[in-house]
Amino acid sequence: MVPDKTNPIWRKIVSYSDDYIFTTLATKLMMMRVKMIVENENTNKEENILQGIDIAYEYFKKNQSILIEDVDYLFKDKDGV
Amino acid sequence: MDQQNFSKEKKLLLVEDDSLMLEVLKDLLSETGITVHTSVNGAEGLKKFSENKYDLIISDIQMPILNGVEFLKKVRSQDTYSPKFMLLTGYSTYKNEEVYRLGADALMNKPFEFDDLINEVHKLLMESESRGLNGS
Repeated sequence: MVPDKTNPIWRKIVSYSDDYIFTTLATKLMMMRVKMIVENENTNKEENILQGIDIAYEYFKKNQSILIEDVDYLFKDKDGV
Repeated sequence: MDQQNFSKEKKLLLVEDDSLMLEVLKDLLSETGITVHTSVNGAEGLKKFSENKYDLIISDIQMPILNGVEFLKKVRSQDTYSPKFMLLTGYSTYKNEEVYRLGADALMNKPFEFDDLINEVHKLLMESESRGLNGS
Protein backbone atom coordinates (compact mmCIF):
# COMPACT_ATOMS: atom_id res chain seq x y z
CA MET A 1 0.00 0.00 0.00
CA VAL A 2 1.21 3.50 -0.84
CA PRO A 3 2.03 5.42 2.35
CA ASP A 4 0.84 8.90 3.15
CA LYS A 5 2.71 11.78 1.53
CA THR A 6 4.05 12.84 4.93
CA ASN A 7 5.92 9.54 5.36
CA PRO A 8 9.71 10.20 5.34
CA ILE A 9 10.26 7.44 2.79
CA TRP A 10 9.08 9.81 0.03
CA ARG A 11 11.91 12.24 0.70
CA LYS A 12 14.38 9.36 0.47
CA ILE A 13 12.86 8.08 -2.78
CA VAL A 14 12.94 11.41 -4.59
CA SER A 15 16.31 12.52 -3.18
CA TYR A 16 18.14 9.26 -3.93
CA SER A 17 16.21 8.02 -6.97
CA ASP A 18 19.35 6.49 -8.52
CA ASP A 19 19.47 3.98 -5.67
CA TYR A 20 16.20 2.39 -6.79
CA ILE A 21 15.70 -0.09 -9.60
CA PHE A 22 12.18 -0.15 -10.97
CA THR A 23 10.47 -2.80 -13.07
CA THR A 24 8.05 -0.66 -15.09
CA LEU A 25 9.38 1.56 -17.86
CA ALA A 26 6.74 4.20 -17.08
CA THR A 27 7.97 4.31 -13.46
CA LYS A 28 11.60 4.64 -14.58
CA LEU A 29 10.63 7.55 -16.83
CA MET A 30 8.48 9.19 -14.15
CA MET A 31 11.41 8.99 -11.72
CA MET A 32 13.66 10.61 -14.36
CA ARG A 33 11.20 13.50 -14.40
CA VAL A 34 11.30 13.69 -10.61
CA LYS A 35 15.10 13.63 -10.69
CA MET A 36 15.22 16.51 -13.18
CA ILE A 37 12.94 18.55 -10.95
CA VAL A 38 14.81 17.75 -7.71
CA GLU A 39 18.19 18.54 -9.28
CA ASN A 40 17.08 21.82 -10.86
CA GLU A 41 19.64 24.33 -9.58
CA ASN A 42 17.61 27.34 -10.66
CA THR A 43 14.90 26.83 -8.06
CA ASN A 44 14.71 26.29 -4.31
CA LYS A 45 15.99 22.84 -3.30
CA GLU A 46 13.32 22.20 -0.66
CA GLU A 47 10.53 23.26 -3.02
CA ASN A 48 12.00 20.96 -5.66
CA ILE A 49 11.91 18.02 -3.27
CA LEU A 50 8.31 18.75 -2.25
CA GLN A 51 7.29 19.01 -5.91
CA GLY A 52 9.07 15.71 -6.60
CA ILE A 53 7.22 14.07 -3.70
CA ASP A 54 3.88 15.37 -5.03
CA ILE A 55 4.53 13.91 -8.49
CA ALA A 56 5.81 10.54 -7.24
CA TYR A 57 3.06 10.20 -4.64
CA GLU A 58 0.25 10.99 -7.12
CA TYR A 59 1.74 8.60 -9.68
CA PHE A 60 2.01 5.64 -7.29
CA LYS A 61 -1.29 6.38 -5.53
CA LYS A 62 -3.23 6.64 -8.79
CA ASN A 63 -1.62 3.60 -10.43
CA GLN A 64 -0.89 1.32 -7.48
CA SER A 65 -3.23 -1.42 -8.75
CA ILE A 66 -1.16 -1.86 -11.92
CA LEU A 67 2.26 -1.11 -10.40
CA ILE A 68 2.23 -3.98 -7.93
CA GLU A 69 5.92 -4.93 -8.33
CA ASP A 70 7.22 -1.38 -8.04
CA VAL A 71 4.90 -0.58 -5.12
CA ASP A 72 5.91 -3.74 -3.26
CA TYR A 73 9.57 -3.04 -3.95
CA LEU A 74 9.31 0.46 -2.51
CA PHE A 75 6.93 0.03 0.37
CA LYS A 76 6.44 -3.58 1.42
CA ASP A 77 7.90 -4.35 4.83
CA LYS A 78 9.75 -1.04 4.95
CA ASP A 79 10.32 0.62 8.30
CA GLY A 80 8.01 3.50 9.05
CA VAL A 81 5.32 2.40 6.58
CA MET B 1 21.31 15.71 -16.27
CA ASP B 2 20.81 18.51 -18.77
CA GLN B 3 17.27 19.34 -19.62
CA GLN B 4 16.69 20.30 -23.23
CA ASN B 5 14.22 23.11 -23.70
CA PHE B 6 12.31 23.66 -26.89
CA SER B 7 10.02 26.36 -28.10
CA LYS B 8 6.31 25.97 -27.39
CA GLU B 9 5.91 26.42 -31.12
CA LYS B 10 7.14 22.88 -31.57
CA LYS B 11 4.20 20.54 -31.77
CA LEU B 12 4.43 16.82 -31.18
CA LEU B 13 1.88 14.03 -31.50
CA LEU B 14 2.43 11.15 -29.09
CA VAL B 15 0.58 7.91 -29.91
CA GLU B 16 0.69 5.15 -27.30
CA ASP B 17 -1.95 2.63 -26.17
CA ASP B 18 -0.42 2.13 -22.71
CA SER B 19 -2.18 4.88 -20.77
CA LEU B 20 0.48 4.96 -18.07
CA MET B 21 3.32 5.41 -20.59
CA LEU B 22 1.26 7.97 -22.48
CA GLU B 23 0.73 10.08 -19.38
CA VAL B 24 4.34 9.85 -18.17
CA LEU B 25 5.84 10.57 -21.59
CA LYS B 26 3.47 13.47 -22.14
CA ASP B 27 4.50 15.03 -18.80
CA LEU B 28 8.19 14.51 -19.51
CA LEU B 29 8.10 15.89 -23.03
CA SER B 30 5.88 18.82 -22.05
CA GLU B 31 8.46 19.88 -19.49
CA THR B 32 11.01 20.36 -22.27
CA GLY B 33 8.73 23.07 -23.67
CA ILE B 34 7.13 21.13 -26.52
CA THR B 35 3.37 21.23 -27.04
CA VAL B 36 2.29 17.59 -26.83
CA HIS B 37 -0.96 16.15 -28.18
CA THR B 38 -1.84 12.52 -27.47
CA SER B 39 -3.73 9.64 -29.05
CA VAL B 40 -4.27 6.05 -27.89
CA ASN B 41 -4.01 4.34 -31.29
CA GLY B 42 -3.05 4.98 -34.89
CA ALA B 43 -6.60 5.62 -36.06
CA GLU B 44 -7.10 8.38 -33.52
CA GLY B 45 -3.59 9.62 -34.30
CA LEU B 46 -4.40 9.84 -37.98
CA LYS B 47 -7.40 12.04 -37.23
CA LYS B 48 -5.24 14.40 -35.15
CA PHE B 49 -2.58 14.36 -37.87
CA SER B 50 -5.15 15.59 -40.38
CA GLU B 51 -6.43 18.33 -38.07
CA ASN B 52 -3.07 19.73 -36.92
CA LYS B 53 0.42 20.34 -38.22
CA TYR B 54 3.02 18.49 -36.18
CA ASP B 55 6.81 18.84 -36.26
CA LEU B 56 7.22 15.33 -34.92
CA ILE B 57 5.15 12.19 -34.36
CA ILE B 58 6.23 9.63 -31.78
CA SER B 59 4.28 6.40 -32.00
CA ASP B 60 4.39 3.06 -30.27
CA ILE B 61 4.63 0.20 -32.74
CA GLN B 62 2.30 -2.29 -31.02
CA MET B 63 -1.20 -0.87 -30.79
CA PRO B 64 -4.74 -2.05 -31.42
CA ILE B 65 -6.94 -0.78 -34.26
CA LEU B 66 -4.07 0.74 -36.28
CA ASN B 67 -0.53 -0.17 -35.24
CA GLY B 68 2.46 2.17 -35.45
CA VAL B 69 3.72 0.90 -38.81
CA GLU B 70 0.31 1.08 -40.47
CA PHE B 71 -0.09 4.55 -39.00
CA LEU B 72 3.33 5.53 -40.39
CA LYS B 73 2.34 4.24 -43.85
CA LYS B 74 -0.86 6.30 -43.82
CA VAL B 75 0.97 9.44 -42.68
CA ARG B 76 3.58 9.02 -45.43
CA SER B 77 0.89 8.43 -48.04
CA GLN B 78 -0.65 11.87 -47.38
CA ASP B 79 0.55 14.74 -49.50
CA THR B 80 -0.36 17.47 -46.99
CA TYR B 81 2.87 17.68 -44.97
CA SER B 82 5.57 15.31 -43.80
CA PRO B 83 6.49 15.44 -40.10
CA LYS B 84 9.46 13.64 -38.57
CA PHE B 85 8.35 10.23 -37.33
CA MET B 86 9.82 8.18 -34.48
CA LEU B 87 8.65 4.66 -33.64
CA LEU B 88 8.91 3.21 -30.16
CA THR B 89 9.64 -0.46 -30.62
CA GLY B 90 9.55 -3.42 -28.31
CA TYR B 91 8.93 -6.90 -29.59
CA SER B 92 7.79 -6.56 -33.16
CA THR B 93 7.57 -8.65 -36.32
CA TYR B 94 8.79 -5.66 -38.33
CA LYS B 95 12.47 -5.38 -39.22
CA ASN B 96 14.26 -2.09 -38.63
CA GLU B 97 15.22 -1.72 -42.31
CA GLU B 98 11.59 -2.19 -43.26
CA VAL B 99 10.27 0.62 -41.06
CA TYR B 100 13.05 2.97 -42.20
CA ARG B 101 12.13 2.13 -45.80
CA LEU B 102 8.51 2.96 -45.01
CA GLY B 103 9.52 6.42 -43.85
CA ALA B 104 10.44 6.28 -40.16
CA ASP B 105 13.15 8.79 -39.22
CA ALA B 106 14.13 7.14 -35.93
CA LEU B 107 13.52 4.04 -33.84
CA MET B 108 13.72 3.87 -30.06
CA ASN B 109 13.85 0.43 -28.51
CA LYS B 110 11.95 -0.12 -25.27
CA PRO B 111 13.11 0.01 -22.58
CA PHE B 112 14.92 3.27 -23.29
CA GLU B 113 16.47 5.99 -21.15
CA PHE B 114 14.74 9.35 -21.10
CA ASP B 115 18.01 11.10 -22.00
CA ASP B 116 18.29 9.00 -25.17
CA LEU B 117 14.71 9.78 -26.12
CA ILE B 118 15.07 13.51 -25.55
CA ASN B 119 18.37 13.64 -27.48
CA GLU B 120 16.70 11.96 -30.44
CA VAL B 121 13.68 14.27 -30.20
CA HIS B 122 16.02 17.27 -30.15
CA LYS B 123 17.90 15.99 -33.21
CA LEU B 124 14.69 15.36 -35.17
CA LEU B 125 13.25 18.76 -34.29
CA MET B 126 16.48 20.46 -35.37
CA GLU B 127 16.35 18.57 -38.68
CA SER B 128 12.71 19.51 -39.08
CA GLU B 129 13.50 23.18 -38.44
CA SER B 130 16.41 23.18 -40.82
CA ARG B 131 14.24 21.56 -43.50
CA GLY B 132 11.64 24.29 -42.94
CA LEU B 133 14.26 27.03 -43.22
CA ASN B 134 15.52 25.53 -46.45
CA GLY B 135 11.98 25.56 -47.74
CA SER B 136 12.06 21.92 -48.74
